[in-house]
Amino acid sequence: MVPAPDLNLSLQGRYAEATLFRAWVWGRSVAHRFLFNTALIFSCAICLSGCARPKDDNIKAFANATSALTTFAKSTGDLNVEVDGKIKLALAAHEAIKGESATIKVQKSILLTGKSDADWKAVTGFLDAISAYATALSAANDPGLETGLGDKVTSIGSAIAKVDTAIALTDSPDRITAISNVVGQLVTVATNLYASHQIHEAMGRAQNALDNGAASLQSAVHFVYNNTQRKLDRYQNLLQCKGAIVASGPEESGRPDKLKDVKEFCRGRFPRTFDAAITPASSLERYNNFVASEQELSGLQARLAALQNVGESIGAMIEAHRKMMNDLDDKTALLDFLKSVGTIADNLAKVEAAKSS
Amino acid sequence: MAVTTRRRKKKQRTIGEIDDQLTALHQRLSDAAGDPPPGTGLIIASCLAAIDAVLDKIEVQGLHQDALVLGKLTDELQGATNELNELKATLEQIAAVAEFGAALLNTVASILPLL
Repeated sequence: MVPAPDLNLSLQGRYAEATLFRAWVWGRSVAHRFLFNTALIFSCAICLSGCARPKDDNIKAFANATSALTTFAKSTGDLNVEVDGKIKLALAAHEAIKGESATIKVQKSILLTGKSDADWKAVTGFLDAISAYATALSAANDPGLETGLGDKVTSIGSAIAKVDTAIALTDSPDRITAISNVVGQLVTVATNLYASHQIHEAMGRAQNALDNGAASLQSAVHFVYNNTQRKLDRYQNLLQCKGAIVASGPEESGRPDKLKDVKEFCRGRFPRTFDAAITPASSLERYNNFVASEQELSGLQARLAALQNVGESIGAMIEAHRKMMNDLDDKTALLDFLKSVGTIADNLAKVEAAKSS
Repeated sequence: MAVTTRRRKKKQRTIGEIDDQLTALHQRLSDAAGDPPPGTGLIIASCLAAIDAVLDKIEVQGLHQDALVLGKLTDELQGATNELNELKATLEQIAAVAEFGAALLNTVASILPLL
């Protein structure tokens, strides 16, 4: 048997329920106003602090150019080792034609004098750190992160509204949806503000490292560049010496040697290398030798020349970073940096195109 | 301190200039070696060897000094990178939680009318 409902208790319960509902509605409207006002304050705050946050397109362009620049800077060292390998191979070849030893070993190619590997590793480590930083900056600055977040928080709001409607707690789901939307907006704004602050902090820290490291980085790359230039000079001399030998043949032939001074230089510059008797080459062989030497040398020289302005580009990169951090509207420094890196890339592309044609 | 830094900078600049000038001279002498004036072949070779000896020392030592500075700054730069990576991870976590919450609430909303 079902017991009869207690009318008195039921009435009391309904009165309490109605009171609670009114209190809830009042609370919601207060909360609504509070949330709206807070959102407004945050919106104003973001407008002011937004000056500290770089624009997405600028950051992406900066990150891409920085990655390219660090690759170019590192390739100065690669070219140094490559030219060193060519010198070692040429010297070993001259050694081999003397026929004094059956086993000629080509020495390992080295950077500078072979004592700087650890130091160059520290330099490339710094370059890698710059590149990683630029990539992280671009990823953290991606506005999609917060836009997506806003959508998701808003959808939470909508979901709450649906739950509320489902349990019939109110007859005004629109208001709940409105509040939910404000919550979503508020979280987006707050997150954006937080992200701006964090990004500005990280950029400030990076700028400090870049400013303190600028001179050393430019100097390190320049030292390696100059050393590569000297190695290239040496390789050019080796090719000239080879050309002189195949052109004139051995001095014992009895004819006056027009290339006597060159050969003297060759023996002085590369002791014990150019004392092998070489059968004079045919004119066709000399022609081919000349063309091959010139092509190889001019290709290497063009590659090195393309990397000449890496130091300047590093300076432009640091300046662009500073400007992006402090003044979003001033794109001049960024454009200068992009132009500078673009010129290096164009020159290297021309070298590659000339090589393949 | 400031005076020492200025002196050091000036010293660095001077070393850099010496390096540039000797490298340029090295290049000119190397070009001349292809067709040297009579009797100068050995002299050019000796000069080039002397320049190489000086510049090798300057460049190896200079690179070493620069590497010391850059090695210390790499950590600072990595710190900034870590901050940015953490920020990205935080934003993604918030988004993931919000997404999960929305999905959960939608499920609850669809079940409730059936109860």
